[in-house]
Amino acid sequence: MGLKEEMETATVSQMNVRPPVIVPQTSTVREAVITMRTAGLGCAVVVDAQEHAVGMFTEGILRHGLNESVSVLDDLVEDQMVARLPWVLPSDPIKMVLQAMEEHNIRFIAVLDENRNVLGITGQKTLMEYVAEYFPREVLTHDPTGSTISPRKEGA
Amino acid sequence: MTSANEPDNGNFQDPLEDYSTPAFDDPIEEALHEKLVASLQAQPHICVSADTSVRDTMKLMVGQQIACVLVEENDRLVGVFGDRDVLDKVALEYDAVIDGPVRNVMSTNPVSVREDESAAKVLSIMAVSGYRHIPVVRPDGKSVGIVSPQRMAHFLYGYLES
Repeated sequence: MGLKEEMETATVSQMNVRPPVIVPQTSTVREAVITMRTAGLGCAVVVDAQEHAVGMFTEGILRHGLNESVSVLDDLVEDQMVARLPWVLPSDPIKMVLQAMEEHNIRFIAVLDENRNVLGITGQKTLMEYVAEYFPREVLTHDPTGSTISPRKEGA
Repeated sequence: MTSANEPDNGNFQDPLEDYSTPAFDDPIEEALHEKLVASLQAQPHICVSADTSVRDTMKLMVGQQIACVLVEENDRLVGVFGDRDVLDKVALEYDAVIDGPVRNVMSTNPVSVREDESAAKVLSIMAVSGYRHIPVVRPDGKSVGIVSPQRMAHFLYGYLES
C-alpha cells in the first residue's frame, strides 16, 4: 500500500497527536501567551465554560496584534481568536489533515470528539513526522542537523 | 573465516554491483528519493539586516504575510526570526526589545540546507529536529531561499494527488 492509500485509510488517531493547550475564553491574551510558552506550542484552543472548543489563538495572531499595539496583551483571547476553528475527528482519515493545511494554509488543526471536546492538536509537525516514519529509508537516513560547510580546506 | 588476503572462492558479492535505478511504487517515495531542495518552493524569501529593529521586522512580516524572515550580517545568514521568537522573546518583553535590533531576539545558528541536497533532508530536519523554517544557503553562506512547512506540505500534496 502506498502513502496515498495509507493516508486515505489510516486515521488521525494513529498520528502522534499532541496534547492541546487549552485556555478559557475569559483569559487574556497575556495569560494565553504564558500558557503557550510553558507548553512550547504555537497555538491554544479556546474553550467556553462547558469546555467546548469555540476558537483558536495562534502565534500568528499574536504577531498581528502586537504589530498594532502591545495593549493586545490585555484583550480577552476570545476577542482575538479565530472563531472558525479548523478541526478533525480522531476517526477522520489523515488525508483530511493534509488537505485542510493545503486548502486553508493553516498550521494547526484541533482534534475534537463529537461533543467538541478537545482531544489534541495536529498539523504540520505531526504530518511531517508521519511521512518521515512512513519512509524511514528515504527520510530518516538524512542528518537532521542540517548542512555545515567546513571553513577549512581539505588540502592534498 | 577468510582473511582479506585469501581468495574467497568466488563467493564475494560486490554490494555496489547493482547499478539499476531503483523502482518505486509510491510517487512520494520516488520524489523523496530523487528530488533536490532546488525543486521545493523556496521563494519568495525576505532577508533583513541584523541591525533592523524588531518593530520594523514584525511590520515587514505582517505586511508580507510571512511567519519568518532570514537575518543576515555581511551577506551571511546569521539567524532566523519567526513567530515562535515573537511568542517566546517579544510578547511579554515588548517594551524592552521592540526598538532594539532583531539580532537580540532572533534564533541563532539556524539549521540550513543547500539547493543540491535531497528534499528528504528538509523533511528529516522538520520531523526530527523540529525546526519549521529551513533556510536554503549557498556554500558561501548567502541565503537564497527558505522552505516553510506550508511549502513542504505543498510539495507532498502535489505527489499525493498525482
